[in-house]
Amino acid sequence: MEAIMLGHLSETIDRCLNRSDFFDEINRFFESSSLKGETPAINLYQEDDNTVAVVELPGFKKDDINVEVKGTQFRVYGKRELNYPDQSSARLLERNAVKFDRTIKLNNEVDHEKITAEYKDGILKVVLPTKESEKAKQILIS
Amino acid sequence: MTEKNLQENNAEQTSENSVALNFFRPAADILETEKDLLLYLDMPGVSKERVEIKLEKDILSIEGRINDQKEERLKPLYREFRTGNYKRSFTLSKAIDQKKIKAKLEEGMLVVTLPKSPDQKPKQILVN
Repeated sequence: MEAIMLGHLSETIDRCLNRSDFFDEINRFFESSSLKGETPAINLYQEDDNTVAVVELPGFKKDDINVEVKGTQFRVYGKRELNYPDQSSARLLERNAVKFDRTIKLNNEVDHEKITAEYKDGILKVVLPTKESEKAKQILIS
Repeated sequence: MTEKNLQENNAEQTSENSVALNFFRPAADILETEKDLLLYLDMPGVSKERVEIKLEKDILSIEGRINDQKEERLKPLYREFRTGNYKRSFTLSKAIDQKKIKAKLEEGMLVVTLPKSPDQKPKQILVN
C-alpha cells in the first residue's frame, strides 16, 4: 500500500466505510496477497504508454469474469463458486465464494480498440493503452 | 475420522516467523468425503511448473513460486496486494494413504487429493 496515491486514497476510504470491505482491507494489509475476503485486490502499473491492471482471481472460471472500460472507469466484476463434492464435510474453511463488482478510476482515457485481457494462473491482466490524444508530446522549442 | 487426519503443521510456522521470508500463507479449505480428504489452496500467479509438493515424515509441505520477473519492469501506480511466493505445510495422520496423493492446479487454485487408507474407510458391519 506504500505506493498509494492521493486520488485513490479517497476511493480506499470510501471502501473502508463499507464494513465488510473494511475488514478485507485490514486482511490485505497484514495477511497475504491471496483472496481472503470477498473483494479481489487490484494493482495498477505503468508500462510505457499503457496502464496495466492486475487482479488476483484464483479458482475463477474465465466466463465468470467481466471487464468493462468506460471513459476512465475500469470496472471488473464476477463470481467464484466453490464446487465441492456433494457428499463431503468441511474440516477447514478459509476460502470464500466470491461475488464482486469493482470500479477503479484510471489516470488516463483509454484507447478502447486496443484493450487486451488475459486470465492465466488465477491472475487477470488487462492492458489499457492510453488514448493517443492524452499522451504527453515532446514540443520542439525553436 | 476427523480433522486430525490432516492438521496444519504449526510448529514449522513458528520457526518460519523468525526469518524474514517473502512467503504468504495461502488460504485453505479442507473437505472430507468418504474416500478422500481434499485440500484446496489459493495461489494466484503460480503456474504448474512452479509448485513443489513434498512429503517427508508425515509432513506435507506445499510451496508455490510466482514468476515475478514479469512485473519488475512495470512501474507501480497503485497497489492493493503484494506479490510473493506461497508456503504452507500440514501434518498427515496414518489414516492417509501417502502413496496415492495427487494434485492438480486450476487457475491459481491447487487441489490436493489425499486418499484415506483402505482400513480407515467406513465399513458396513453385518449383523447376524
